[in-house]
Amino acid sequence: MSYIVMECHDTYVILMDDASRFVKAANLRYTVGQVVDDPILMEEREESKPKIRMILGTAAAAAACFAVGFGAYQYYAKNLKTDSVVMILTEAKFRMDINQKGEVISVESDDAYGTEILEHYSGKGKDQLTVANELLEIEISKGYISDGDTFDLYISAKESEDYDTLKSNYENGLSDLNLKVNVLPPDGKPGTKPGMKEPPVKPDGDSEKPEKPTAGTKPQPGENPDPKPPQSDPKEKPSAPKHDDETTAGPKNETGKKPQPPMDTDPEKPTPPIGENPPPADAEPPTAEENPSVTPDEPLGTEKPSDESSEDAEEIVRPPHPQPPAAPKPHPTHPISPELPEPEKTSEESKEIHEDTSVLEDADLTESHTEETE
Amino acid sequence: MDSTAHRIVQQVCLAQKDSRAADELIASYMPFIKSETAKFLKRPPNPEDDELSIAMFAFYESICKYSIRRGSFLKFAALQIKNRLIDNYRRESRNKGHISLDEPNESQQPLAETIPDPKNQYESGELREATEQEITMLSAQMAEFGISMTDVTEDSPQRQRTMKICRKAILYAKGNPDILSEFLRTKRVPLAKIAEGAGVERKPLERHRRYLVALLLICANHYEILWGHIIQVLERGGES
Repeated sequence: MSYIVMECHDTYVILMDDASRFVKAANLRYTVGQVVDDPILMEEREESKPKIRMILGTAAAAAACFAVGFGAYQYYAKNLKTDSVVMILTEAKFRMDINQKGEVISVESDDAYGTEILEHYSGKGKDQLTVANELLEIEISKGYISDGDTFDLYISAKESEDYDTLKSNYENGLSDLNLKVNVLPPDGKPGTKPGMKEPPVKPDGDSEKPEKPTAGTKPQPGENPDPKPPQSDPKEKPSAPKHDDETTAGPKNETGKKPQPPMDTDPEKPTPPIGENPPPADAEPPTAEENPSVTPDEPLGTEKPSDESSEDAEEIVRPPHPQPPAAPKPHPTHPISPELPEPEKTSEESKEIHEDTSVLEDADLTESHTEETE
Repeated sequence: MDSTAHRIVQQVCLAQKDSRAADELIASYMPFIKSETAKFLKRPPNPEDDELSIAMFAFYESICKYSIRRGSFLKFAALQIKNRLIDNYRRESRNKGHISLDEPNESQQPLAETIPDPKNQYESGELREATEQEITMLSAQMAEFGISMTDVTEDSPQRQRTMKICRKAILYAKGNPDILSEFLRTKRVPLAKIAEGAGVERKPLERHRRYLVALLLICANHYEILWGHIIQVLERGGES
């Protein structure tokens, strides 16, 4: 292609080619009218792309990225993300992570039996009921469980509806096996995943019952929640408690139950026998209601408990309205005064009795002991 | 530093619109252009070196292509100069096996002088002068229309499809003297008639109006040398 130099500048020339195009080229000392064959042409100007096309392209690319990301997340959420957890608590404990489609993502076990079974079995990708059936069949074949046994099933799901569905599925789906399914409710709020080493705790309704006071423990002075009876003159001797309802009411709390021993009581700490427990230095001397055994003017043996049941014995301990003190009858073996500690004469005898009875029966036993000594 | 960079950008923006301002800017930055050329040549460039001309042309290209998004103008220009010089070096490398006509022979005469010229040198000189004369007249007529060669270059079609439309229009005008006389008389391109007669869209013709003015002047005023240069391709393109 030949070019005619149409115009010359210091740095460039304007050429017209034989196709009637006008172009710029480097001025390699050309003159106007010169015909050149191999000029150094200026590069064609980059045509700026329309803005709308760039915006559309960017939007399309963003939409494609979003679609790919959304699809990937959907696949992950449906197939790979754990939606619910089912634990089969038999001799071997299995934990099955289940996806949204109800397929098993993984089966784990951290005990020896379960690990042995899972060495030759993988339920990945199978339906959860199929896996549960197969695992139980394997356990039956291995003899870990037998027909008629009851096993626990723990289900943890994100939604309560899912939990109900899973529960009914398992209760119906495992009916082929001659096993009884005990589906445990989720521990806590829905969605909590049970750990392998922390199986769910059965809700125990007895946990709220007051514990029986163990031997060797007795309520500490000053911790009795009952209202104290009017303080009597230490010199005056309280009368023996009566057996009627008013007088024999034990140290009941507001609910009418026996007071529990204090939680901070150290069971290993040897409890001193009756009469050997000196009051603290700054404590008030125990009253007859709090510890009849240390009451100096306790009318020991004045009245026997009519019934030997523990309830009566408890009721005898603290009459809510003690009668005016009767004439004290000095106890030969317990000359206890509020100011002086108990002598050690009868401590061994009292200790023997005290070990077999509850703390709240101390008063009754002390009275019995008094009668024996008399 | 910021004010200097800002000033350069302003000068470049002005040079993009005005070719005279571009020449002034190039002249003021000749030391920079020579420095970049010297970096490539590993020696100071001579005024006769093609590399210096190519570097100046690359600097002009940088002015035309520069935008604020490309960063510093001088760095951009330096890169353009370097790339152009490398391209020229590669192009020259392909012709290394050839002997230049300017090479002196054994008798210290240029090789071109020893080769018999099939054309008459006198005739070729006359032809160049005649061509130059036509071009000068054409430029003067274009000035009457308010356009320059640079304007024509900017309006020159780049795509084959547009080129084809323009060729059809010119060939139609060449075959209709009435249109050419109207064009010379009114100094306006009868785009509607040309588009209707040539059977092409009017919009591309409007977009390349200044280019059409230059070519219509060539064919209307019988610039034989220039018309002879382009007629073969025009007719071939017009027929296809």
